[in-house]
Amino acid sequence: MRSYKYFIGFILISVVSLAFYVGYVLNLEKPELVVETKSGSPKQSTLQNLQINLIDVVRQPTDFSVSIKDGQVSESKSSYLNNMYLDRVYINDKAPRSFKQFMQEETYTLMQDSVTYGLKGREDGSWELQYWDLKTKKLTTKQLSTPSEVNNKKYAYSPFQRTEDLLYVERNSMDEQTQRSFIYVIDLKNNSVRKQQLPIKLKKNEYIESFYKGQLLFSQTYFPKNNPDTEQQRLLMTDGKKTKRLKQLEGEDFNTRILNEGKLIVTINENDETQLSWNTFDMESEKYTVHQVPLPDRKKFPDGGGFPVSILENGRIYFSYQLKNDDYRVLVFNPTSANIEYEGNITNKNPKIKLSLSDMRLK
Amino acid sequence: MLEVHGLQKKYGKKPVLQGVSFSVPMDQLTCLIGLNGEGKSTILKAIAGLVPVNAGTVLVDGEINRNKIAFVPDIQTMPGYMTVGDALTYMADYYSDWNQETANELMRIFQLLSTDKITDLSKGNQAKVSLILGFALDRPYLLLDEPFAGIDLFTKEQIAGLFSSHFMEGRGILMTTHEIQEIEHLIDRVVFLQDGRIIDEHETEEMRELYGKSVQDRMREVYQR
Amino acid sequence: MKQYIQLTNEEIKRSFKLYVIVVLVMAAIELVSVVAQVMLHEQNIKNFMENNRATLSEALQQIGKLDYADTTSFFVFMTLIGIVFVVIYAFQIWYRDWLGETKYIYRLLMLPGRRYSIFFSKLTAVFLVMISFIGLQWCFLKAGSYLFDWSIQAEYQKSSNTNIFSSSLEEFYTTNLTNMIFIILISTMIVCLIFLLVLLERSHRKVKGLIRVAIETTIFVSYAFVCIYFLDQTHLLLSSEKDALFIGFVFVYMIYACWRSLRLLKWKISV
Repeated sequence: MRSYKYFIGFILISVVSLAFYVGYVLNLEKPELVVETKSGSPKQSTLQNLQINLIDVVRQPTDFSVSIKDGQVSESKSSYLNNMYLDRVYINDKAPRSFKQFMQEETYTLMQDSVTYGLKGREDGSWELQYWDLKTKKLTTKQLSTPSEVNNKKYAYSPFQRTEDLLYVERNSMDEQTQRSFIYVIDLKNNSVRKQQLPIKLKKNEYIESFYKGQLLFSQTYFPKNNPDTEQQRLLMTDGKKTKRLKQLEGEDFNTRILNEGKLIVTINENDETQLSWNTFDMESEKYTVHQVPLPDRKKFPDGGGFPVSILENGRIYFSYQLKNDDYRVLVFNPTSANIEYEGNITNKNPKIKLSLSDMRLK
Repeated sequence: MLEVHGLQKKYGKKPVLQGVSFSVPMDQLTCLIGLNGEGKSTILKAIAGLVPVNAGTVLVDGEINRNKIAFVPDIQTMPGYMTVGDALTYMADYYSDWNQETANELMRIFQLLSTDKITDLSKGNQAKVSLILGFALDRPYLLLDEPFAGIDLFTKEQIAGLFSSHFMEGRGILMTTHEIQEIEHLIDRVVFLQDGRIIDEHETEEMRELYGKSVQDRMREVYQR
Repeated sequence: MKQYIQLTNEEIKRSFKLYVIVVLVMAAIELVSVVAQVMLHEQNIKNFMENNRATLSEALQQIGKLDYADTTSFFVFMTLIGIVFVVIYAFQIWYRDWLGETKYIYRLLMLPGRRYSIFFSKLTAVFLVMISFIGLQWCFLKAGSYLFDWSIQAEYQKSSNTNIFSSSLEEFYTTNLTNMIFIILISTMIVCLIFLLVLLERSHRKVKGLIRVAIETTIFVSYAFVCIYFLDQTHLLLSSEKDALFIGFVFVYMIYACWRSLRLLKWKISV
């Protein structure tokens, strides 16, 4: 009887050689990430479950997600397969499937204070609103009748801010920015939609930043005469009667963020490698604050890169950056008082593995 | 009895076989005769299951069972790197009805060595190897496609001699050949094929009595009409 | 089962010599290229130092140090050649039985037992060649890295870097095993497609065979397009579900290709 030596031999060659490969991959050195708290409690409620994502860019994108709360590290790798079809909107894993699926449709989204809102215009002119509260793990679904002039085919209705039980919705044209003199307000308590006149008629180059108790904060883009190639931005506030420019909030490298349901305007500069600076403006009291926190141990990247990550949510600034010793600093503070509520470091005890800051999430 | 019923085969729109029916009795050598391109090889391949047909059936002792048929085609079918010994081992591995004793005896008669590489053999010896691969299968029906094509007279006579001494008993053989005169004395039955149809079918003895002619003469008569 | 293993053994045996030659040639080219590139780099440094009367550190600063990933360009070429070889083998494993001096296809089709063992033995042979190429290429990559460490002088080498892949090689040799499984799956599907096309051509004569091949290729392209378009456009599924469905589509096509091929082998194939 003939032997099967070629068949067996080939299987052995294939299996053994592949086993080397698999063995190498499984035994790849991994970072040893440890969370060291310097001040504040990692379990405090404002932190929720803050996750800092670090990425190993050298050997295939591998995400290491570090939980500040308990120091747990989870690893995920992106593959060809899951890069083929990405969800349109990232939704927290614990959200119900129906909500995740709803958010893949033509919905307009807003994420504010751990709540994700999705608004979809139906063919009959009505709106469907769903929102998922990460803290309470509650999903709310509403079918809303809209005023007669609402046209879901011609316009995009996009939520931009929630203040108390009111969700503000901006109307945008699909084709071009048109003049806008009103927004819509969804009353989440009694499920109604009404039109709300804006204090002024906005032009094409003007964008709503916040709407708070009749006061409109908007940004206006322009090209200065002395630098016609660089677009600049003004921040203006108006109640319809008087308009004032919030010059103290403006600045190159300053990004505008809205906190506290539209009440607090924060402009923050994360790119200065020596300090973190931000300005705040209270829409109600019309008071400014200016802050700088020196960052002497922040690592410098002369060739670029090394960007910090931040979230402004729950009335807090969550900020993370890389230190000179390649650790990562995590800071959580109150933007108006600059009171640091949490400070911690993530240390990689395996320096052979080089990581970069990728992302920050509240789970 | 091997029975062929209504075989039809078309290549594209061109009909090659148009309802071919005949039989191959046990213990007889049946010769399928026809001019070049009449479809003789196609019939044998169809019986062996190597070409699909458009219609028709092949029954072996009343049932559809190709495991009772051995086919020796007119070309070499073993991979070129194989030796004669490899080829015999191959057959022994795959066929439960392989008769190694018969194979060894035929090797001895044909004076072939198991270490001979098949592609290095002469055409005649390659034909011998093919015959061994067919005859050493203990199957009741044997199909031979031009077994004498391109081989020398001596080998032809040797093979012809083996038919009567070794191959005929307990077998029904269907053969196609142009070398009628070498084996006319062995042929028990002739089937004439023309234009894809069977035009005549006789026991040779009956034909000699009926027409007073040899197979060759009858053949000339049939195809010159 | 026995017949399947025997046939697979036979298929592998028939190609073994050529396979060994290809593997050895690939390995030789790859490993020699590593050493050659190290030597070339050294020579460039020396030339720079001579021509510019520079010190070693100046030369290294100008020309740059070398790491293993910089020397693996030939591995990429060989990997591509390996892919081409597997595709050619997928065609040749059938056509060699029809074409050439001996017609082994007669022998195969006359074997007792079912004809699906013929199909699966050839599929297994191609599959084993494919994954052995992947595994062996990996071993050569590692061997190359040891060769590199041995042949380069310490000061010429870039500081500790765990990356042994160039960016183009990373596409094939990922540290994500899911990617490797994905590559093997897609490759197997393509082999199934090739087998189907070959059997279609062999089951019909000349022009009709080519027409059938063209139709089947169109069917495959259309199927792929429809599946990808559907997955791209649908909002009914989440990304993880789309991934699973994509894999499902691949399997469906493979099953279809195998089923059709087996039917052709059983009812339509002609010598």
